[in-house]
Amino acid sequence: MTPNVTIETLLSPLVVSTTSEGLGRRAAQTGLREDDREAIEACRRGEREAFDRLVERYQRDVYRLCYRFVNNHEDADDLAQEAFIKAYRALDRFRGDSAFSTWLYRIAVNACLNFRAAKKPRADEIPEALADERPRADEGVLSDERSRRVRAAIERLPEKQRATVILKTYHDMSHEEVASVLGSTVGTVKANLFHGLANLKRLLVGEGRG
Amino acid sequence: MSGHLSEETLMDVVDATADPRAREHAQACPSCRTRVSEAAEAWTMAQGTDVPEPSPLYWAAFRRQVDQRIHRETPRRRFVRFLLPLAAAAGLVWAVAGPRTISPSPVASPPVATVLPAWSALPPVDEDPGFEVLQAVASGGFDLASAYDRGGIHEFLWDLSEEESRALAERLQSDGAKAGAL
Repeated sequence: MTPNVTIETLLSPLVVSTTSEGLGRRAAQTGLREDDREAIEACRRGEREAFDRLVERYQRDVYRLCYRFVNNHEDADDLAQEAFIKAYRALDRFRGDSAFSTWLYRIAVNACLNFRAAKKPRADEIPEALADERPRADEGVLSDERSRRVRAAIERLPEKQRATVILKTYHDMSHEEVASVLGSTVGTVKANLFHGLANLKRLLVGEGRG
Repeated sequence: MSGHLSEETLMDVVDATADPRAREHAQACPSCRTRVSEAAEAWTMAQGTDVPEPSPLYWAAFRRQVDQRIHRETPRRRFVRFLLPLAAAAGLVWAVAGPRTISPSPVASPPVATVLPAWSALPPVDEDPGFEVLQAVASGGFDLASAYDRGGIHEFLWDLSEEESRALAERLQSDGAKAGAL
Protein backbone atom coordinates (compact mmCIF):
# COMPACT_ATOMS: atom_id res chain seq x y z
CA MET A 1 0.00 0.00 0.00
CA THR A 2 1.41 3.35 -0.96
CA PRO A 3 -0.59 6.15 0.57
CA ASN A 4 1.32 8.94 -1.21
CA VAL A 5 -0.67 11.62 0.52
CA THR A 6 -0.02 15.20 -0.45
CA ILE A 7 -0.68 18.16 1.76
CA GLU A 8 -3.58 19.12 -0.53
CA THR A 9 -5.33 15.75 -0.32
CA LEU A 10 -4.56 15.62 3.33
CA LEU A 11 -6.20 18.93 4.02
CA SER A 12 -8.94 18.96 1.45
CA PRO A 13 -11.80 17.83 3.66
CA LEU A 14 -10.84 20.25 6.36
CA VAL A 15 -9.75 23.38 4.62
CA VAL A 16 -11.12 26.33 2.82
CA SER A 17 -9.82 29.79 3.41
CA THR A 18 -11.38 30.75 6.70
CA THR A 19 -11.86 34.01 8.48
CA SER A 20 -11.24 34.31 12.17
CA GLU A 21 -14.93 34.94 12.65
CA GLY A 22 -15.75 31.66 10.96
CA LEU A 23 -13.18 29.90 13.05
CA GLY A 24 -14.73 31.26 16.22
CA ARG A 25 -18.22 30.25 15.19
CA ARG A 26 -17.10 26.73 14.39
CA ALA A 27 -15.00 26.44 17.53
CA ALA A 28 -18.09 26.27 19.67
CA GLN A 29 -19.42 23.37 17.64
CA THR A 30 -16.32 21.29 17.03
CA GLY A 31 -14.34 21.08 20.22
CA LEU A 32 -11.66 23.50 19.04
CA ARG A 33 -10.03 24.61 22.26
CA GLU A 34 -10.33 28.28 23.05
CA ASP A 35 -6.60 28.69 23.63
CA ASP A 36 -5.89 26.93 20.33
CA ARG A 37 -8.31 29.19 18.52
CA GLU A 38 -6.67 32.28 20.01
CA ALA A 39 -3.21 31.08 19.04
CA ILE A 40 -4.32 30.26 15.49
CA GLU A 41 -5.89 33.67 15.08
CA ALA A 42 -2.75 35.33 16.43
CA CYS A 43 -0.68 33.34 13.92
CA ARG A 44 -2.93 34.55 11.14
CA ARG A 45 -2.34 38.11 12.27
CA GLY A 46 1.36 37.43 11.77
CA GLU A 47 2.34 36.82 15.39
CA ARG A 48 4.71 33.99 14.78
CA GLU A 49 5.43 33.42 18.45
CA ALA A 50 1.82 32.31 18.84
CA PHE A 51 2.71 29.24 16.84
CA ASP A 52 5.39 28.49 19.38
CA ARG A 53 2.62 28.14 21.96
CA LEU A 54 0.91 25.56 19.77
CA VAL A 55 4.18 23.71 19.29
CA GLU A 56 4.79 23.71 23.03
CA ARG A 57 1.28 22.42 23.69
CA TYR A 58 1.41 19.55 21.23
CA GLN A 59 5.09 18.76 20.69
CA ARG A 60 5.14 15.84 23.09
CA ASP A 61 2.03 14.18 21.67
CA VAL A 62 3.16 14.66 18.09
CA TYR A 63 6.66 13.40 18.83
CA ARG A 64 5.32 10.33 20.62
CA LEU A 65 2.89 9.63 17.81
CA CYS A 66 5.75 9.77 15.31
CA TYR A 67 7.98 7.68 17.54
CA ARG A 68 5.33 4.95 17.67
CA PHE A 69 5.35 4.85 13.90
CA VAL A 70 9.05 4.81 13.20
CA ASN A 71 10.38 3.47 16.48
CA ASN A 72 13.49 5.63 16.57
CA HIS A 73 14.25 9.05 17.92
CA GLU A 74 15.97 10.56 14.92
CA ASP A 75 13.16 9.94 12.46
CA ALA A 76 10.51 10.78 15.05
CA ASP A 77 12.24 14.11 15.62
CA ASP A 78 12.37 14.85 11.87
CA LEU A 79 8.76 13.82 11.31
CA ALA A 80 7.42 15.76 14.28
CA GLN A 81 9.20 18.89 13.06
CA GLU A 82 7.90 18.30 9.57
CA ALA A 83 4.34 17.94 10.90
CA PHE A 84 4.56 21.30 12.65
CA ILE A 85 6.07 23.03 9.62
CA LYS A 86 3.31 21.65 7.39
CA ALA A 87 0.70 22.71 9.91
CA TYR A 88 2.19 26.22 9.99
CA ARG A 89 2.11 26.47 6.21
CA ALA A 90 -1.50 25.28 6.09
CA LEU A 91 -2.75 27.21 9.09
CA ASP A 92 -4.59 29.76 6.96
CA ARG A 93 -6.67 26.95 5.62
CA PHE A 94 -7.59 25.33 8.90
CA ARG A 95 -11.36 25.68 9.10
CA GLY A 96 -11.86 24.65 12.64
CA ASP A 97 -14.13 21.77 11.68
CA SER A 98 -12.28 19.60 14.15
CA ALA A 99 -10.13 20.11 17.17
CA PHE A 100 -6.73 21.51 16.24
CA SER A 101 -5.13 18.42 17.74
CA THR A 102 -7.14 16.16 15.41
CA TRP A 103 -6.06 18.21 12.43
CA LEU A 104 -2.45 18.22 13.59
CA TYR A 105 -2.47 14.46 14.23
CA ARG A 106 -3.79 13.95 10.78
CA ILE A 107 -0.87 15.87 9.34
CA ALA A 108 1.55 13.93 11.52
CA VAL A 109 0.02 10.54 10.66
CA ASN A 110 0.21 11.30 6.97
CA ALA A 111 3.80 12.47 7.29
CA CYS A 112 4.54 9.13 8.95
CA LEU A 113 2.63 7.12 6.35
CA ASN A 114 4.46 8.89 3.55
CA PHE A 115 7.76 8.45 5.27
CA ARG A 116 10.10 5.96 3.77
CA ALA A 117 12.78 5.22 6.23
CA ALA A 118 16.32 5.77 5.10
CA LYS A 119 18.06 2.50 4.58
CA LYS A 120 20.76 3.20 7.06
CA PRO A 121 20.11 1.52 10.40
CA ARG A 122 19.07 3.83 13.15
CA ALA A 123 19.26 3.38 16.87
CA ASP A 124 15.76 3.06 18.20
CA GLU A 125 16.50 4.69 21.50
CA ILE A 126 17.02 8.31 22.34
CA PRO A 127 20.69 9.31 22.54
CA GLU A 128 21.81 9.16 26.15
CA ALA A 129 22.36 12.89 26.37
CA LEU A 130 18.73 13.52 25.41
CA ALA A 131 17.06 10.87 27.53
CA ASP A 132 15.04 11.84 30.53
CA GLU A 133 16.71 10.12 33.46
CA ARG A 134 14.00 10.99 35.96
CA PRO A 135 12.10 8.00 37.36
CA ARG A 136 8.80 7.24 35.67
CA ALA A 137 5.69 8.16 37.59
CA ASP A 138 3.36 5.87 35.65
CA GLU A 139 2.83 2.47 37.10
CA GLY A 140 2.02 -0.58 35.06
CA VAL A 141 4.49 0.33 32.36
CA LEU A 142 6.23 -2.73 31.01
CA SER A 143 9.94 -3.18 31.38
CA ASP A 144 12.07 -1.38 28.82
CA GLU A 145 12.89 -4.61 27.07
CA ARG A 146 9.27 -5.70 26.80
CA SER A 147 8.23 -2.23 25.71
CA ARG A 148 10.87 -2.38 23.02
CA ARG A 149 9.49 -5.71 21.79
CA VAL A 150 5.93 -4.42 21.68
CA ARG A 151 7.01 -1.25 19.87
CA ALA A 152 8.97 -3.30 17.36
CA ALA A 153 5.91 -5.52 16.79
CA ILE A 154 3.65 -2.47 16.29
CA GLU A 155 6.13 -1.13 13.77
CA ARG A 156 5.65 -4.31 11.73
CA LEU A 157 1.88 -3.97 11.48
CA PRO A 158 0.37 -2.93 8.15
CA GLU A 159 0.14 0.88 7.96
CA LYS A 160 -3.57 1.40 8.57
CA GLN A 161 -3.65 -1.11 11.39
CA ARG A 162 -0.57 0.46 12.91
CA ALA A 163 -2.05 3.95 12.69
CA THR A 164 -5.32 2.77 14.24
CA VAL A 165 -3.65 0.88 17.09
CA ILE A 166 -1.38 3.84 17.88
CA LEU A 167 -4.09 6.49 17.84
CA LYS A 168 -6.59 4.42 19.76
CA THR A 169 -4.21 2.98 22.32
CA TYR A 170 -1.87 5.86 23.02
CA HIS A 171 -3.77 9.00 22.21
CA ASP A 172 -6.97 8.25 23.98
CA MET A 173 -9.06 8.93 20.92
CA SER A 174 -12.59 7.77 20.34
CA HIS A 175 -13.32 5.61 17.31
CA GLU A 176 -14.91 8.67 15.71
CA GLU A 177 -11.81 10.79 16.25
CA VAL A 178 -9.55 8.09 14.85
CA ALA A 179 -11.86 7.83 11.85
CA SER A 180 -11.59 11.59 11.37
CA VAL A 181 -7.80 11.54 11.53
CA LEU A 182 -7.50 8.61 9.14
CA GLY A 183 -10.29 9.70 6.83
CA SER A 184 -12.18 6.43 7.24
CA THR A 185 -15.36 5.16 8.86
CA VAL A 186 -15.92 4.07 12.43
CA GLY A 187 -16.61 0.52 11.26
CA THR A 188 -13.31 0.41 9.41
CA VAL A 189 -11.49 1.78 12.43
CA LYS A 190 -12.93 -0.94 14.66
CA ALA A 191 -12.12 -3.68 12.16
CA ASN A 192 -8.58 -2.34 11.63
CA LEU A 193 -8.05 -2.10 15.36
CA PHE A 194 -9.21 -5.67 15.88
CA HIS A 195 -7.03 -6.98 13.04
CA GLY A 196 -4.12 -4.90 14.33
CA LEU A 197 -4.42 -6.33 17.85
CA ALA A 198 -4.77 -9.88 16.55
CA ASN A 199 -1.66 -9.42 14.39
CA LEU A 200 0.18 -7.84 17.27
CA LYS A 201 -0.58 -10.86 19.42
CA ARG A 202 0.65 -13.17 16.66
CA LEU A 203 3.85 -11.19 16.20
CA LEU A 204 4.60 -11.17 19.91
CA VAL A 205 3.87 -14.87 20.29
CA GLY A 206 5.95 -15.67 17.23
CA GLU A 207 8.81 -13.60 18.52
CA GLY A 208 8.57 -15.30 21.90
CA ARG A 209 8.85 -18.67 20.22
CA GLY A 210 11.66 -17.52 17.95
CA MET B 1 -26.97 -15.78 16.22
CA SER B 2 -25.65 -17.69 13.24
CA GLY B 3 -21.99 -17.66 12.17
CA HIS B 4 -19.25 -15.73 13.89
CA LEU B 5 -19.06 -12.12 14.92
CA SER B 6 -17.56 -9.60 12.53
CA GLU B 7 -14.27 -7.91 13.47
CA GLU B 8 -16.17 -4.71 14.11
CA THR B 9 -18.46 -6.44 16.61
CA LEU B 10 -15.58 -8.39 18.12
CA MET B 11 -13.89 -5.06 18.78
CA ASP B 12 -17.05 -3.86 20.50
CA VAL B 13 -16.86 -6.93 22.73
CA VAL B 14 -13.21 -6.18 23.56
CA ASP B 15 -14.24 -2.58 24.17
CA ALA B 16 -17.15 -3.69 26.36
CA THR B 17 -19.57 -1.73 24.20
CA ALA B 18 -21.17 -4.68 22.40
CA ASP B 19 -24.87 -5.39 22.72
CA PRO B 20 -25.96 -8.28 24.98
CA ARG B 21 -26.53 -10.71 22.09
CA ALA B 22 -23.03 -10.20 20.77
CA ARG B 23 -21.59 -10.60 24.26
CA GLU B 24 -23.52 -13.83 24.75
CA HIS B 25 -22.26 -15.17 21.45
CA ALA B 26 -18.68 -14.25 22.33
CA GLN B 27 -19.07 -16.20 25.58
CA ALA B 28 -20.61 -19.25 23.98
CA CYS B 29 -18.59 -19.53 20.76
CA PRO B 30 -15.07 -20.91 21.39
CA SER B 31 -13.66 -19.36 18.21
CA CYS B 32 -14.98 -15.85 18.90
CA ARG B 33 -14.07 -16.15 22.57
CA THR B 34 -10.47 -16.98 21.67
CA ARG B 35 -10.24 -14.11 19.21
CA VAL B 36 -11.64 -11.65 21.74
CA SER B 37 -9.30 -12.87 24.45
CA GLU B 38 -6.22 -12.65 22.20
CA ALA B 39 -7.06 -9.14 21.06
CA ALA B 40 -7.74 -8.04 24.62
CA GLU B 41 -4.44 -9.49 25.76
CA ALA B 42 -2.53 -7.73 22.97
CA TRP B 43 -4.29 -4.49 23.81
CA THR B 44 -3.32 -4.75 27.46
CA MET B 45 0.29 -5.32 26.45
CA ALA B 46 0.22 -2.43 24.00
CA GLN B 47 -1.27 -0.13 26.62
CA GLY B 48 1.50 -1.02 29.00
CA THR B 49 4.30 0.19 26.75
CA ASP B 50 5.75 3.62 26.69
CA VAL B 51 8.17 5.44 24.44
CA PRO B 52 11.50 6.65 25.79
CA GLU B 53 11.03 10.13 27.16
CA PRO B 54 13.39 12.83 25.95
CA SER B 55 14.71 15.25 28.54
CA PRO B 56 13.00 18.62 29.10
CA LEU B 57 15.99 20.23 27.36
CA TYR B 58 15.10 18.38 24.19
CA TRP B 59 11.72 20.07 23.96
CA ALA B 60 13.25 23.52 24.12
CA ALA B 61 15.65 22.55 21.34
CA PHE B 62 12.78 21.06 19.36
CA ARG B 63 10.78 24.30 19.51
CA ARG B 64 13.84 26.30 18.59
CA GLN B 65 14.43 24.14 15.52
CA VAL B 66 10.83 24.42 14.39
CA ASP B 67 10.97 28.16 14.91
CA GLN B 68 14.23 28.47 12.97
CA ARG B 69 12.83 26.49 10.08
CA ILE B 70 9.75 28.70 9.99
CA HIS B 71 11.93 31.79 10.31
CA ARG B 72 14.10 30.66 7.40
CA GLU B 73 11.05 29.94 5.34
CA THR B 74 8.99 33.06 6.00
CA PRO B 75 11.21 35.70 4.36
CA ARG B 76 12.01 33.31 1.54
CA ARG B 77 8.33 32.77 0.73
CA ARG B 78 7.72 36.48 0.89
CA PHE B 79 10.72 37.03 -1.35
CA VAL B 80 9.56 34.44 -3.87
CA ARG B 81 6.23 36.23 -4.18
CA PHE B 82 8.17 39.42 -4.84
CA LEU B 83 10.80 37.79 -6.99
CA LEU B 84 8.56 36.10 -9.54
CA PRO B 85 7.02 39.25 -11.04
CA LEU B 86 10.38 40.98 -10.84
CA ALA B 87 12.09 38.10 -12.57
CA ALA B 88 9.37 38.05 -15.21
CA ALA B 89 9.94 41.74 -15.89
CA ALA B 90 13.69 41.22 -15.99
CA GLY B 91 13.16 38.28 -18.33
CA LEU B 92 11.10 40.46 -20.61
CA VAL B 93 13.85 43.05 -20.78
CA TRP B 94 16.38 40.35 -21.43
CA ALA B 95 14.21 38.78 -24.13
CA VAL B 96 14.08 42.06 -25.99
CA ALA B 97 17.68 43.00 -25.55
CA GLY B 98 19.24 39.68 -24.65
CA PRO B 99 19.11 37.59 -27.84
CA ARG B 100 21.33 40.16 -29.53
CA THR B 101 23.65 40.39 -26.61
CA ILE B 102 23.91 36.95 -25.02
CA SER B 103 24.68 33.92 -27.11
CA PRO B 104 24.19 30.44 -25.66
CA SER B 105 27.94 30.09 -25.47
CA PRO B 106 29.25 32.38 -22.75
CA VAL B 107 32.67 32.38 -24.40
CA ALA B 108 31.28 33.99 -27.51
CA SER B 109 29.25 36.58 -25.65
CA PRO B 110 30.12 40.16 -26.41
CA PRO B 111 30.29 42.40 -23.39
CA VAL B 112 26.70 43.26 -22.65
CA ALA B 113 27.36 46.65 -21.19
CA THR B 114 28.43 47.94 -24.59
CA VAL B 115 25.12 47.06 -26.22
CA LEU B 116 22.56 47.76 -23.51
CA PRO B 117 20.55 50.76 -24.53
CA ALA B 118 21.44 53.95 -22.77
CA TRP B 119 17.93 54.26 -21.36
CA SER B 120 18.00 50.84 -19.69
CA ALA B 121 16.63 50.81 -16.18
CA LEU B 122 19.05 48.04 -15.34
CA PRO B 123 22.17 48.90 -13.42
CA PRO B 124 25.53 48.42 -15.15
CA VAL B 125 26.33 44.77 -15.65
CA ASP B 126 29.16 44.69 -13.18
CA GLU B 127 26.85 46.07 -10.50
CA ASP B 128 23.81 44.00 -11.28
CA PRO B 129 23.64 40.82 -9.17
CA GLY B 130 20.65 39.56 -11.13
CA PHE B 131 22.48 39.65 -14.44
CA GLU B 132 24.66 36.65 -13.80
CA VAL B 133 21.63 34.73 -12.64
CA LEU B 134 19.76 35.58 -15.80
CA GLN B 135 22.80 34.70 -17.86
CA ALA B 136 22.94 31.30 -16.20
CA VAL B 137 19.25 30.76 -16.89
CA ALA B 138 19.68 31.85 -20.50
CA SER B 139 22.62 29.54 -21.05
CA GLY B 140 20.38 26.64 -20.13
CA GLY B 141 22.62 25.38 -17.38
CA PHE B 142 20.54 26.73 -14.52
CA ASP B 143 23.59 26.43 -12.35
CA LEU B 144 22.63 29.42 -10.32
CA ALA B 145 25.06 28.73 -7.54
CA SER B 146 28.09 28.84 -9.76
CA ALA B 147 26.72 31.77 -11.71
CA TYR B 148 26.63 33.83 -8.60
CA ASP B 149 28.14 32.61 -5.42
CA ARG B 150 28.10 35.65 -3.25
CA GLY B 151 25.38 36.89 -0.88
CA GLY B 152 22.18 38.74 -1.72
CA ILE B 153 19.89 37.35 -4.36
CA HIS B 154 21.88 34.16 -4.61
CA GLU B 155 20.96 33.16 -1.09
CA PHE B 156 17.32 33.37 -1.89
CA LEU B 157 17.62 31.62 -5.21
CA TRP B 158 19.75 28.93 -3.72
CA ASP B 159 17.09 28.35 -1.08
CA LEU B 160 14.37 27.83 -3.68
CA SER B 161 12.93 24.37 -3.80
CA GLU B 162 13.34 22.36 -6.97
CA GLU B 163 9.75 23.11 -7.87
CA GLU B 164 10.13 26.83 -7.25
CA SER B 165 13.33 26.96 -9.27
CA ARG B 166 11.61 25.16 -12.12
CA ALA B 167 8.66 27.55 -11.97
CA LEU B 168 11.04 30.52 -12.08
CA ALA B 169 13.01 29.10 -14.99
CA GLU B 170 9.84 28.26 -16.92
CA ARG B 171 8.46 31.71 -16.28
CA LEU B 172 11.64 33.33 -17.52
CA GLN B 173 11.76 31.14 -20.59
CA SER B 174 8.10 31.60 -21.38
CA ASP B 175 8.28 35.39 -21.04
CA GLY B 176 11.45 35.39 -23.11
CA ALA B 177 9.79 33.33 -25.83
CA LYS B 178 6.74 35.58 -25.89
CA ALA B 179 8.83 38.71 -26.11
CA GLY B 180 11.05 37.15 -28.76
CA ALA B 181 7.98 36.41 -30.86
CA LEU B 182 6.93 40.06 -30.79
